[in-house]
Amino acid sequence: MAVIESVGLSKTYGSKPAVVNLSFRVNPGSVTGFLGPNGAGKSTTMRLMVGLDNGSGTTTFDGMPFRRLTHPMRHVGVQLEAKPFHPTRKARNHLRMLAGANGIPDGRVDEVLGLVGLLSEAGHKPGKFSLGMGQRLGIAAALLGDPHTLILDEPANGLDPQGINWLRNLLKQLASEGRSIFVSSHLLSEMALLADQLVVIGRGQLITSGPIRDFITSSARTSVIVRTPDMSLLGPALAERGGHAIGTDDGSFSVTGIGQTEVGDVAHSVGARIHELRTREATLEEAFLDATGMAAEFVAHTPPHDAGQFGPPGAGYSGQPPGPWQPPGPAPWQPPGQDPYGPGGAR
Amino acid sequence: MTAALRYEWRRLWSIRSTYWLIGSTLAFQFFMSLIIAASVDAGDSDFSEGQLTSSVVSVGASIGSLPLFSAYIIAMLGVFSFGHEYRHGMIRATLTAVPNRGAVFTAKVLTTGILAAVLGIVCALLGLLNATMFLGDDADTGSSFVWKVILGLVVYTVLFGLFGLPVSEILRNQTGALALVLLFPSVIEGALHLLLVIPEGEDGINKVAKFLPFDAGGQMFARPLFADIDDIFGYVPLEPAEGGLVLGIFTLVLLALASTLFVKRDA
Repeated sequence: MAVIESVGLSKTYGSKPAVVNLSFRVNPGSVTGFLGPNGAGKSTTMRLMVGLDNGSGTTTFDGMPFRRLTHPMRHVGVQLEAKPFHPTRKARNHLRMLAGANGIPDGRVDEVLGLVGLLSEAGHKPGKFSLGMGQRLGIAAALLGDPHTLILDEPANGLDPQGINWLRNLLKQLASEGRSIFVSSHLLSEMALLADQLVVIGRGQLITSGPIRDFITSSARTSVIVRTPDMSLLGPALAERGGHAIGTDDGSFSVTGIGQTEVGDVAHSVGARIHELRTREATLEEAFLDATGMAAEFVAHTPPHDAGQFGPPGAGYSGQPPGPWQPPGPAPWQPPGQDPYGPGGAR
Repeated sequence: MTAALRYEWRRLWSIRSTYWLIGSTLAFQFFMSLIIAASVDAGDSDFSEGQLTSSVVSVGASIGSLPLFSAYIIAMLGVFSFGHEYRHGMIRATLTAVPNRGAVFTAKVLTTGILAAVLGIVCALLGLLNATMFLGDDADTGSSFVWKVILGLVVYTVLFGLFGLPVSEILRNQTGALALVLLFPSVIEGALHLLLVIPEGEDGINKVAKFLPFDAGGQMFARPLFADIDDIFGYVPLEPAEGGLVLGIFTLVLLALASTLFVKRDA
């Protein structure tokens, strides 16, 4: 079972760095999600890993670089683009061609076509395939050699909800068999359901890697929700401990910077009554936006007059963080209604 | 290397263009040589020994009347060998199936070269068949002249076929490569020839123009029937072997450049 080990991957296009000294590890038995904003260098990284792009750094699969693998498709299944086939070469022939070069018996071709639900299309030309069918053919090619490692770039693109569900179950099952799955996706909700581990990059550099759970819980947007009639007591005490409370619309407060237990202890010590105390975990999307906010290659600016029309802060996710999130600063607590970024306030 | 050859072999025979290019080459050769064989006057004294038969076999190319059309069609196979890879993004699928780029390149050269050689030989045999059928005793199939021309035709066809391959790799654009490969020997070399011959006269043709690769390579099979304008300028054509060498070196240099780029560039 293969460990993917990438060390010091770098690639420059002209004078523009696309990937900068990127190192990470993908372990067997897990689905590792590869996240980054558009233009962060995800596809370039994947191409570097399998030697399609010439850059610096190394990637090994159980200690062996891709280019030195004999019959590479029997070790590493790769899908890097949505339609990597000749439009008039029939689906079965496309896979037979790949199989022939990798010592894979032809009988395996129909097996994988069945696995991805394309057996009825085996004799058809993929030029007329939908994006989703093209993806399935690409996934079939990646699975052809029954590899211990899969590298998939946006495999869910173009799949319908049933297809996404199928892909998720397939990848989870393959991982449970001890394979290493490295998959990029911009569908964060999907990634939250699929991945166990994450590698997050921005501007070609590693932002973080590790278990997805740690990534979410360490996000600044994971907060403690407190409902108390005694904020005048609790607020300053929390601020002393590094907490940062912000009033929300429904009268509760969102506290960041310290954990739920600590908030409870502080409330007890100052004699503040607590009517509700719970932790609100960030979503993967929020954690991702936080982590990559400064690292996005292409940042779009929302026109100010549009910003409030999606609903009041805190009323659910609207493309903006729930509640008027602020970077930790000198003003730790503001009572509701006085928040300059609150409803009706200037933006 | 075996993996790359197996891949290339299956690649070649799983697309329609291979079949229609081969089919049209053979059909063109068969019917054109048939028409020429059926219509020439075997008693024409302008033809020296073997010249009539070789002009049937080469569909007029050996006497300088027509370009060697079959080689042009076969050259398209060379262009498609890399052209399809880049046109449809197949190159990334190819290189993840066979990551050894040197082997991929060599496999393409071997398959294109061998296919061009086989087609060149079959074309020659079809021409000989028609010559024998229509010219009867006047078909000098035993003449060494004819066989030398046939050898020249086959070598020229192979080199022309291989010429398409590096051009499409270097340009990474199938349409552009196709245009360049078909226009270079005909229009571009022709224009260069005139540009060099007219102002420079004898020097232009003997020092430069006769080394234009396809002009030179054509000497492998060309035995002009009539003196042409070049003779006025004191044209001393290259020997067939010399001409073949010029075209061979030209093709090899392009192949070397293309293989270097293929290994160095991002897929």
